[in-house]
Amino acid sequence: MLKDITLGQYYPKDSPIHRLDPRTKLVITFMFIVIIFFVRYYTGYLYVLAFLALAVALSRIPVKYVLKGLKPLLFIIVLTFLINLFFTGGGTVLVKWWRLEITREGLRQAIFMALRLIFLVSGTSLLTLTTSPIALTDGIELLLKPLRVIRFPAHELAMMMTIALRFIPTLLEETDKIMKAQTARGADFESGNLVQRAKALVPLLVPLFISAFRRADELAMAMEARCYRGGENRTRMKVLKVESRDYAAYGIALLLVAAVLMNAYL
Amino acid sequence: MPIKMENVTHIYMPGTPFMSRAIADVSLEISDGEFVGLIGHTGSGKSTLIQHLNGLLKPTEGVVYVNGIRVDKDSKNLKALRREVGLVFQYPEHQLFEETVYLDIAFGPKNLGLTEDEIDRRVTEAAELVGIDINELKDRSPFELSGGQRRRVAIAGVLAMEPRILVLDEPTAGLDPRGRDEIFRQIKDLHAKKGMTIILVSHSMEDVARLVDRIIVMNKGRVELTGTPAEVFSHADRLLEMGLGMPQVTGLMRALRDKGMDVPVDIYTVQQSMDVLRKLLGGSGNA
Repeated sequence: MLKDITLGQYYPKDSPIHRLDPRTKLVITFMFIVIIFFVRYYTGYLYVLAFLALAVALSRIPVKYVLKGLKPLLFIIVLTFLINLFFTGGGTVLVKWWRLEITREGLRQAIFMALRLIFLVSGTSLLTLTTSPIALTDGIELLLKPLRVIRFPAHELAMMMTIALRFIPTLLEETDKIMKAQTARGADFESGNLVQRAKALVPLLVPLFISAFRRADELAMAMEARCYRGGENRTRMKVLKVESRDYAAYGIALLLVAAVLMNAYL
Repeated sequence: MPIKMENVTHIYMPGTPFMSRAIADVSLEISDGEFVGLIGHTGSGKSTLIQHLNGLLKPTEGVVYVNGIRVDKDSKNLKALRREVGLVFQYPEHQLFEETVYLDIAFGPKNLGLTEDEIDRRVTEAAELVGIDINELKDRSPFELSGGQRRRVAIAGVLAMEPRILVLDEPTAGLDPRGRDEIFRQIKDLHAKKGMTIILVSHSMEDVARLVDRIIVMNKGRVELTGTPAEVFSHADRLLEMGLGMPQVTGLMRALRDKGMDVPVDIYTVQQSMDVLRKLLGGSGNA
């Protein structure tokens, strides 16, 4: 039933990449995303590929897992490829069939776009594969902290994200349990037409909502009982510290930026 | 027809880093009309085991037979099995969803496609079995009821399927002593009057000991001990090793014996212990 759903896609392992400060990983991922758009020649992608390969190798995550992130986007990648292939005008015509023509320019553009998407997705999924959701929100909170000057609620936002993430497995488990309980009473969630299936969800959703509200209420009470009142003067249990490996990571990322820019503009 | 499990293994999320083996190579038999207690620590695989009995989980390896219906890893369409085995989960009141008590109990029979008359008969009977006055409560919302009543409505919802085998997972968790005793009394009645096979999952030795004919002890996904309460509690050292207790009176008897008194140690109900203690005191006190 629901047992196959893994939360986010965090892949627990003890590797140099996993140990990096989440802020470092967020900033480097951001740099990585931006730099992909500066690639102008195929050779530029070689640098990107080398960087990504190094990161995957260091993270000790099976390549299969990184590529799995591409699966849901396969359709979009193929669509982008085809649209660029057929609808880029100008340049030498390579193949002409009926009213469709493939030009050299179009082929290049299509390959470029597809590669860009593939690198974007696999690069960002490496971030979520190596960083637990909680570490990720911690990193986001700290990165957004300077925005407090303009009254941006960084702490509240991060707390909301943390709570939401914390409850995903709980609610999944609850869903699984209620689903099983109703299945044991003869409910059928897996067959019938659309209307029947939607109706079959009522015995699942009503108890789920009730329990979600109950849990929210209990959590609010427990937080207040422990004097929670927002982010003012709160200290953290796990203090994030930038270490030498973070500087090394920034160094490598800057090398990538330099290499791509030189490849594109020199 | 009995329940039979042959070398059943269940693995959650195989092939991922989260893979875990919940039960391993479990073989057991439960005959018709038996009242069995399933005991084990949290995470010992009890809940996984009972979900195999009505096909909510399929064994990764091995075969389960229930009333002649075979379940293995490829089995499909297990609706017939779900009519045979009623499963009451922990905190069953969390599954209530209908607007009225009547409709909620009727949910199961309705799914079986029965006639209105038959549904009505089953709802009335199931409510009676768990001690609910259906005429008074049928139009009330289940969410207005007390915790104990809500639980009984939920159990009635399973009984209305008229299963021949009833599995209850910690049916009294979170109830006050009175609610607990009532539920246990009703379960005992079900066994005595309707001749149902009952499997009671619990980690309370006290409760299990005074109700069941036979105890199955699970530890780390395996069946560790099985036998009558007296037999199982005579292995007190192994039970303690597994982090399971024993009924307080059994502990008392063992303590007395350690002090050099001549008492049997296969005592597990208060009544038995009273007889023994009376004899013991009578012997020396009258002198």
